[in-house]
Amino acid sequence: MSIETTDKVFLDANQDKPRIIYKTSGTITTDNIPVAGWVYGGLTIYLNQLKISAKNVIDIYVKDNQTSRTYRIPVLTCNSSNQYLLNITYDITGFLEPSLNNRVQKLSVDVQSRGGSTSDTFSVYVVVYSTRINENILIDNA
Amino acid sequence: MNPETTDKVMGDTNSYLPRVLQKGVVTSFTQVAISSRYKNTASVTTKVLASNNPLVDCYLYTSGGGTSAVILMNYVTDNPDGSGFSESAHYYLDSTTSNGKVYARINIEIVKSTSTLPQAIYYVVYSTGFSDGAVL
Repeated sequence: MSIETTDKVFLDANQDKPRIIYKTSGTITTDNIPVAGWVYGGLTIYLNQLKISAKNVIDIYVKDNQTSRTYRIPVLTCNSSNQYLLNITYDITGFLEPSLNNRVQKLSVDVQSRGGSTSDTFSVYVVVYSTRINENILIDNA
Repeated sequence: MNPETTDKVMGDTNSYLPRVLQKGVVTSFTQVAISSRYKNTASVTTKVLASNNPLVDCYLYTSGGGTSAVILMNYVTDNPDGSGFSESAHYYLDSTTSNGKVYARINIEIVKSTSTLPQAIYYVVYSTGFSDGAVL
């Protein structure tokens, strides 16, 4: 990263402003048999426009449609008995996209919910930022 | 969505670049004892319409013993003796109606193993929503 001025301050760091380059969404439905009071669900989203080397930043918001609460994840909540109640995490790995001959980003979001049912739904909203817009981070689909 | 180019359009600056709409601090919390923990809650009604689905960052501020720190929420810390979590801090977004308008609201929940009240939560609300559809 090049230094823009010799006396750099927050406001002149124009190239460092995070910009939204990608938004996507999905839905998780808990579909596994409850184990010890827990239900589980997961979602995989392939960020097909992003190279694994993009070094981008991601924000993920998840709405629990049972309570209408929207969390930015990761989140771990507790109930009144000091038990973990809702655990939502995510991870990003590389994935070989043969049609693009490139490695793209594979985003996995996982929900663990205590006391939920096997048909609970969670809406997932993904916002991808980059401060490296001058670099070749977007895959040319042409 | 196009990256920013020399053919800049309104969307490049207005939609793709999150800007701070509102900042603030919360120092007052409601505390209730739950089992062996203490739950501290607070809510902030933003000035942003819920239909915008604003992005929100929350930071917990703590100080004492000659040090201070801010921690980006959400997070959980464990007790070193393995007796369970020491502090669990998270927030969630929903909406509330005032004067016929529906605003985004930040709800903060901090569960601690001691009755010491949280010192402060700093929040930052950004433009450009996490979704273009109705969520909150």
